[in-house]
Amino acid sequence: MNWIKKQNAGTWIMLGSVVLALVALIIYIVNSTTGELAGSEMDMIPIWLTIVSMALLLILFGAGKKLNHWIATIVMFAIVVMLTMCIVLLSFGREAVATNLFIPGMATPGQISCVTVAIVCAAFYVLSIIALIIASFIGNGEKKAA
Amino acid sequence: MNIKTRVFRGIALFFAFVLIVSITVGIFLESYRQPLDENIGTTSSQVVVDSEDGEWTYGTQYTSTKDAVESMKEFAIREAAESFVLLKNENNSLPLSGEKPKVTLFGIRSYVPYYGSTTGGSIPDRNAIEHADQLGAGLQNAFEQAFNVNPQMLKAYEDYTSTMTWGSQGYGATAPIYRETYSWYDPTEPTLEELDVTRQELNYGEYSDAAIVIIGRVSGEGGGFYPGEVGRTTTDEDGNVTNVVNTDTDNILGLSDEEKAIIEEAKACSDNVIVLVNSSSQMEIEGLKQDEDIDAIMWIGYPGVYGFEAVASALKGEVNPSGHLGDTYAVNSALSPAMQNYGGDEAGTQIAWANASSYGQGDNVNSYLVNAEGIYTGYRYYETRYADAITGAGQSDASVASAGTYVDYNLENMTFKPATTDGTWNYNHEVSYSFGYGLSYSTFTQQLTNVTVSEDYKTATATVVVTNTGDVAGMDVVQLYAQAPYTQYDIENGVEKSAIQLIDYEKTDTLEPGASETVTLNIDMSNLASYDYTNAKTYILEGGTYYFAVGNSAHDALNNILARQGYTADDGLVNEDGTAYEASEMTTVAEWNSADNGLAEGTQDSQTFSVSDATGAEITNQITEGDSAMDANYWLDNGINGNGTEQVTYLSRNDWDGTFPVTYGGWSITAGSRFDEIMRNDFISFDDMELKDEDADLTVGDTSIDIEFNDMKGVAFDDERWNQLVSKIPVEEMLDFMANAFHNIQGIPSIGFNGYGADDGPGGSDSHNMGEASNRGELFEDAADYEDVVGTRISPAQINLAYTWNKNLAYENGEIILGESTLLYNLPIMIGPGMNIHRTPYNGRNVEYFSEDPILSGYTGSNIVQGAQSKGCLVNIKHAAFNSQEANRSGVNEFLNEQAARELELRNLQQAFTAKGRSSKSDVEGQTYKFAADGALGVMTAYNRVGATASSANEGVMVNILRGEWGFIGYSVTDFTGVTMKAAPKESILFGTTAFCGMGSPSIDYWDAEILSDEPAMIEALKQDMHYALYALAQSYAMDLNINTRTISLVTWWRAAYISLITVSAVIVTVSALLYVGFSIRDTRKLKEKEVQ
Repeated sequence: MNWIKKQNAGTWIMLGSVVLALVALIIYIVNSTTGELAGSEMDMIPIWLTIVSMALLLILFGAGKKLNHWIATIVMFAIVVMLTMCIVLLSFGREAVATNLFIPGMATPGQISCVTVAIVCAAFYVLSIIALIIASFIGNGEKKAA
Repeated sequence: MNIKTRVFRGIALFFAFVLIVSITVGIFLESYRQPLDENIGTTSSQVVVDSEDGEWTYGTQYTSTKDAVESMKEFAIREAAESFVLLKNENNSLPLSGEKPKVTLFGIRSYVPYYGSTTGGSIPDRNAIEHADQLGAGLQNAFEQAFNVNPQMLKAYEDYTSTMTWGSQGYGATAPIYRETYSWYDPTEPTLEELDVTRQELNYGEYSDAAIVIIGRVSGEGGGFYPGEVGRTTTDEDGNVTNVVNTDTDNILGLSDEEKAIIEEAKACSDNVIVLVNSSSQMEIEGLKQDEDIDAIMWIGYPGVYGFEAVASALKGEVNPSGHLGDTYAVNSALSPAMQNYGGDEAGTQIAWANASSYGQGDNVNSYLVNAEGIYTGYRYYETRYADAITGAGQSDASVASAGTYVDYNLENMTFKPATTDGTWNYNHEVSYSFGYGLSYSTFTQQLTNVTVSEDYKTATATVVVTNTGDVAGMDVVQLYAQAPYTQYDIENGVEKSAIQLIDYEKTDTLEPGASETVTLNIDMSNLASYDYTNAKTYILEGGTYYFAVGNSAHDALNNILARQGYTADDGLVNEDGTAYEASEMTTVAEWNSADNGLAEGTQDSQTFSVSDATGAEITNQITEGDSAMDANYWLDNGINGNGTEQVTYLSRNDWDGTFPVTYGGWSITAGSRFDEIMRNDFISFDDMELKDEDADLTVGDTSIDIEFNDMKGVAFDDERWNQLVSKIPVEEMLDFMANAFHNIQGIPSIGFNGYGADDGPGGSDSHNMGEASNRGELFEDAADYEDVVGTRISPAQINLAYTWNKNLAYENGEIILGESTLLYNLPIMIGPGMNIHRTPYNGRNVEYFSEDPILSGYTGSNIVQGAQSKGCLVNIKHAAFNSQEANRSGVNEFLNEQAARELELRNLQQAFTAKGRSSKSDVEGQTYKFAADGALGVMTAYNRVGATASSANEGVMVNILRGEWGFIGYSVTDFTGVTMKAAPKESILFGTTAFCGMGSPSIDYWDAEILSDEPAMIEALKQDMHYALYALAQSYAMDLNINTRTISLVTWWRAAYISLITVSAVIVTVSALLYVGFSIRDTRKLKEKEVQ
């Protein structure tokens, strides 16, 4: 309890980043395995990138200021790059489906739903990245003593 | 950590994110730069002339942008003027007399007409027709110049639409129409009450020379109508019913209560009520025809950007209507045989695959269409049944009709709904206006002076003398029909014969009163042959008496033949208006007894038309059995569970009522069957592939070969140098070329072929403007003055062109609308013409196609192709084949028997691929109509399946018929599938596909140069396909551009934006990272210093 109270805002925002990444990951898996993309081969790279990112975020979260700030910064860069790559791969993976929206009467409800869910997924990834960036401004760990 | 350190770390992280995103966005934008340019009006690349030699084959016919704009406008108005069909003109109520008649316009379409479709390839852009009308186009401007138009009524509509949104929704061009005024389920006709205006306010008395009512229906790509209540019901996003329209036929194509109400207003306004039909789908207008208070009806179709000027001229008599219907106007089209199997599950027709949900979305499995009507679509049904009712042919009475198959004709109530009890089929209760019908302000006689059949009966020549017997000048159309004998052999072998079929046509010049013209018709007798898929398995011609007849419609010509056969009004011969038929004093019929040429009655010639004229290939069954089969009866034995149906019964004239199509609902796909395998679009494994030629040269990527694309100018298709050229291309570049074909022709660096643009456009280009107009790569000096003039999509819709029945006008359309789009905008490929045959009026995309008849459609399309190709345009005839409806168009299985397939859709397409349909008037000295030896050199396949296979993967159609029988040696691109499984890519490549139109990166595991390089059959096919594509491009303007120009990239705002963003992000990331490092080191030093102290 004491530990919780001691943590600054950056720590909790970082935890928020983990949760947002987890939500994005769940949406990604659902989006890749149901509806329009059911039966198609799921791109596993975003999954691994997200899991690794979440693990690194949890390390950052748990270690707080104990972690060397050089290492912490490099890890943060890695997480931002990995989560952004998830968005990129997500976008390329839905490109073929999304293009149907350009042709009159071509897009099926399944395709529209697939693209909509993919956009929501990307939004969660973006929020996760932004949360991490905010946390990087604040710095995570215990509050400074008064 | 110091706050500055954290700030710079945060900034570096943020801009690292922005950097990656902007690089990704840049990649996307560059991938889609062609459609991006088209939609936001930027120009990201430009052709620059870099040759001083000037080796140009093609060049625009225009001398300036001004010349192009004005000449195209002149053509568009001329084309429109020839297309209008006068259907009714009681007491010569038209043309309107007086210099500037006072008229009141009624109907929402009189204020917001359909200039073209609202989506797809015949849509004029809204920018071309703002209601402000600064360009002089549009209905308001045209009508106000020609008439004194009741301003109060205009104001009522103006007020009514004042809060609406101008411009249709959708990708590409946006149609000039208020978004709230069109719907597939509602004509959106407001009543006076809704217009919030009274009769008194409208001041009818001052504007009563005529009351002109314009009614219409929407059209466009991706849309369609549905018969019955479902087609008249509007629902909201949650599926709640918000409105149900009532019509006199129970169908959305019938007249709605609101339309009838506004017509009643017109009657109150004037004694001269004129109705203009602004629709490409045949509306059900028996109510108008039978209404004695309606004086005139004229079909105007979709007149295009400038066409209402021609409408006004036609109403005033400055133009004499000379169009004729290219489709049958049935009293209730929903009762036609074809409509019994139409639509998709969304319309409650139960023709969706019952187990579609067990397939992945990517498999593209949804519904199926059994064309159980066989050959009996359009007039082939109505006229043949009429003839059989007269002659008593067939084993049962053709007049006997079951409930739901004929019209409950109620003149008292003016309703024409489906009959609910068994009864009698009556031609006059079924057809309002027959195919080919059309009136004139003048009168004409036609005398069929002779028909001469060649000794081998492959060709025939007919001569018709046309005389203007009226008081005003005008053009007439010679429609030559034929009747082949329906024999016992046909009955025994399931060969069907239409009692009448169009065999050729020509339009006269403008004839002054009293003047005559002798018209020659060159008949291709192969179009009279029937395809016997059960016994002879090829085309047959049967011994007996053949009749050739002229007439002012298919019905009129048939009556002429029946009269020659001895039938009279006492036997039931009636005209379209229900009056008793009287034979003309002129000779309108000629007979040919085949025995005179050695083909005795009762015998069949299965040799003469069993070999392709184009290639010498044997013509035999291709789509009756096997993987390419289109016949549902084959698949019912090989993988379809028919839900109790063991065999489809095709409609036969031998028993009209007994074989009238039923709806084949509830079918499912048997798991593990061959049909199931094919439906998954992966049905030929690499292990099962074999080389077509054991000695095929499989060399690819050979850089030692010293030959380039530019060296192939004028090189014949079978020249060995093509193999050398193709052998130079690495597989990666072949795949790259094939996969990037959305409005684009991808460059092939290894052979020095630069990439070029393409555009969609049966109706011309809508993605470019006249500010880009150039001549042989050089912008016209005045081009910049015309940046506001949109594209070349300014002429009437394609259906209007067909209704002109003018072959040379179609050729000119090809030259100007497609050909000049190529030359002015440097677009070697134009996607058009649209040539699917009209199966039913309910297909919303009929607007982009021509007719229900294969000869009118085929010859119109062929002339467009020849005109376009004479300008270096590589046409893409679309959509091969059988794209008969838009509902579930992506993946719907089209099932036809081989006779219906070959005698309708394929016969139609064949004309354009074999360069047929040249007008006899083109032979006149001094004419410039050039028919090349090559037919069409490009094709776009369809979204629908052909039988079980993706359309591009149907070997029977795409290889054996298209290339084998018709000699097609050109470019074949899929419709918007991209390289996805729904296009069955490897099978499509095996069967001649040269490119896959679509966006997005290929996501198929075998779409990999390394994998395909290990497959000899795929390499052989890829090389063959590249040969086809490059040969076609070498005949086009692409060769001119490749020799004489280079393409440079231009800095557009979006290109500048993403490059700036990348640059700025990269700089900030670098600087922030350095500052972070710097401050971190300083922090560390300070900390150490503190610790030391």
